[in-house]
Amino acid sequence: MDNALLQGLVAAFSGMNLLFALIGCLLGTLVGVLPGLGPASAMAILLPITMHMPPEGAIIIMAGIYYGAMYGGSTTSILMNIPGETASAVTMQDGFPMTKNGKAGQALAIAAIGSYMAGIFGAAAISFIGPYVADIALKFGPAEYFGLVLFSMTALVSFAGNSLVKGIALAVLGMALAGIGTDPLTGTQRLTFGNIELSKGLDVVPVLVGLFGISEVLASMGDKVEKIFTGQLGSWLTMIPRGEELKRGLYASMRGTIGGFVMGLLPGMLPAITAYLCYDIEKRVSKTPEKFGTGMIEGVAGPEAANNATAMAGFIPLLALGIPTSPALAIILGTLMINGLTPGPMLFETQGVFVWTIIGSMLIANTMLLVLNLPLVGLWARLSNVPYSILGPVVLAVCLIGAYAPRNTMFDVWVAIGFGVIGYAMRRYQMPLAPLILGFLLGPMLEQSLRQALSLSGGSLSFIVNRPIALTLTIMAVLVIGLTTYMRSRSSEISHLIEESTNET
Amino acid sequence: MTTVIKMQPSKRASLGLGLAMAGAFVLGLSPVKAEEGYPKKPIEIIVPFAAGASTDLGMRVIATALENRWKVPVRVINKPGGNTVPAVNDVMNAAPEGYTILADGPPQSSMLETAVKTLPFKIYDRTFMAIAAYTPMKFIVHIDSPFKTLQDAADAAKKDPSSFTWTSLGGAGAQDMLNRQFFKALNIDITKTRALQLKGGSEAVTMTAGGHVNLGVGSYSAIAAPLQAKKLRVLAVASSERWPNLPDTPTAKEAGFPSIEVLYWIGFSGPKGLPADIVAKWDQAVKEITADPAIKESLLKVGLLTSYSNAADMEARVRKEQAETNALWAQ
Repeated sequence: MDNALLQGLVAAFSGMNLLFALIGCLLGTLVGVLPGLGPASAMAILLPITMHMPPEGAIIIMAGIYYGAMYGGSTTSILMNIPGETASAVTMQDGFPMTKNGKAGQALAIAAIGSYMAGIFGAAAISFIGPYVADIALKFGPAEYFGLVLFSMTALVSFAGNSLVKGIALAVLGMALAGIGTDPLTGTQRLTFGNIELSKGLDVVPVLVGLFGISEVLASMGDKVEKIFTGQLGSWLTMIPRGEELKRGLYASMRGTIGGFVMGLLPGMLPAITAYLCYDIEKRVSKTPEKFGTGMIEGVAGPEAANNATAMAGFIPLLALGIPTSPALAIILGTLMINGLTPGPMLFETQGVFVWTIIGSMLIANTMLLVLNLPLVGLWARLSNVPYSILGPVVLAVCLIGAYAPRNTMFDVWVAIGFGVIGYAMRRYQMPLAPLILGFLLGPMLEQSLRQALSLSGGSLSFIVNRPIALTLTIMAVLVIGLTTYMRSRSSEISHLIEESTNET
Repeated sequence: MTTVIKMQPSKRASLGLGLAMAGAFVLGLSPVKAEEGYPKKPIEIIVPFAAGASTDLGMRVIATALENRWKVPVRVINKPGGNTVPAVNDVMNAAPEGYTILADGPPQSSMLETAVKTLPFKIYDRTFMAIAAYTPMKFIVHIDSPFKTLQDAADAAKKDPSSFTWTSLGGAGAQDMLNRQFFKALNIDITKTRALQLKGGSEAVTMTAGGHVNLGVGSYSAIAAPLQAKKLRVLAVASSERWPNLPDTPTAKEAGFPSIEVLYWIGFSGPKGLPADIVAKWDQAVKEITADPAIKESLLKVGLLTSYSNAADMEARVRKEQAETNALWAQ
């Protein structure tokens, strides 16, 4: 191996860089636990300070915040049904039911372990395959994105619950909500009714915090919940998953890591989206898909590994081409530039030691995060035993602050409260919340890529056939939907027949 | 206010009354006079864009310098979205005391009326303060593009405008202004060409580097990395001088298009009625900060060239730009 690699790895272990990694991890975990305060806002606050730091130290701290948030984000999702990070929204799906079953510790532990696997794999992949796969980000034009989103939409099947029609309707509603505000492509106002606040559109954080966090508090108040979990929690040792449970969690983490990593190479595929898609993968490969939503460990492990893998994968197009795939990575790009470093292949050649120091510190920081998170599992899990008369108001306060934070506006607090009421009503009428969120996240991408592809082709739909990647993805989407519908109708037909035959006897 | 503090607060009611009276006194006496020793408390600079872009990075560099100078926290607050209208409106409605300042630039001022027809404020109600830096827009193409010069691109566009694709950010902005100048110089009806509308400058550069459009536009901070990765070629720089880091790339004028020039500047504005002594303090601060070699270097790293203009020149620039924008978008 060349000299730069060794030098870089040694530099990563220097006292200063270890300290930077620790600070980044701690800040990231904190940012992850607090809903609303996302990694991007924390990194932006730190940006001017990094001018006075050595460049590698600056990047180590920033990167630590980014993946630290991916670790910490799961905590409130699992314990309180509030997404600490949008990337951890889907973790609530099975994480919170696990807490209700007294398995908060297991859920938190597997989230940390899954994130760790993704982190280590990600760092290794950046160094060994990074330069070869960076170009994928450039291969995707509007037509390819349209195919990709179309395919991603098939995940709806997994989140729709009993009725696919209901699920699709809610997803369409989510897309319409995402369409409110200034059209990002032309600047036209849509559905704003002349209101200035609405012209900014709805931010995903208040919507999520309202739909899940606030509606959870409302529902718990209605049901007179005393504690989230009333039984006895075991000792720390019993909370760490083992045996069959651990095996299921590890396999799911592995799938989440690979899925999240591959999708994370593309701009626009945010950790929030890939986590949803990897949850969908888990449900599809599971032998007991009907149990998802009741506290399946795979439903926590898969998405948690995926969001961290996506965060790591984003460093490849960033370091190799200077393409930021998420808002947080745009700030890391800013940090590099403010320090006078331009990403690109030259960075690997001229600043080899720098790059290897960063990668080395990724390995260290991920290990630190695991060491930080695992011992705390027992402490966090005790929260589920706190009387709800105390926990409820705290959760509500955290939700409202979280809604305010991302855009510094009171309007978003009202949005969160409004969506809290909507979420409560949806629960009452047994409507799944996830399709709405999936529509909200993917809707703008679907709309924009379609409009862009049409404007490039001069209004012809031929782009779906002309572009091989787009065509493949579209065919796959059609196949998945077709097969699922066929299988479902078959299985309901069969169960109907069985029912009839048992009635006869 | 000092009289209130000296008062013995024997009775709460009288203190409250005293405070109210003192407040009314201060307000009544001098509505537009700043407090002695401005600034006394943290200053917020409102950036109407997301963190990490040119304006944001430049503002963060300058905010740190202001902090060192004034010894009060100077915070950069991002309020993106809504064509910059909500952020500008927030500043326009803030108290004119110099603690809420707008990070100004062409989309927030000269181009705003073209992008948004019904504004809740008047463009020239703001108190102009100073311009700090600028960056010229640049024409870019994919590395394997057949266009070696801007003239090649022009020939192709003239030959078949209806299939000529270019990156647009929609509404009215510096990127689109450059393209509109280009098509105007060629006498091509812009509505006959194919605009690929994109969300932001970074996406426009990525799409160009991926070879998905014929002609792209970007500022230096967005193109630096793909340029170094040999995914892009710069055809021309839309300013009167060549860009320091690209000495071999011609200006638009040198490339045969003297009418093309788009400088994206960043500066500061305040709400209506900002006292003249506060404006003077900012003017002095920006003037000295932009002359500091260390700041110059920091700004160049994020793709900005320092260029100081005072409030009067800033307003004149906005008015001139607005006239040009109106003409270009009227077509």
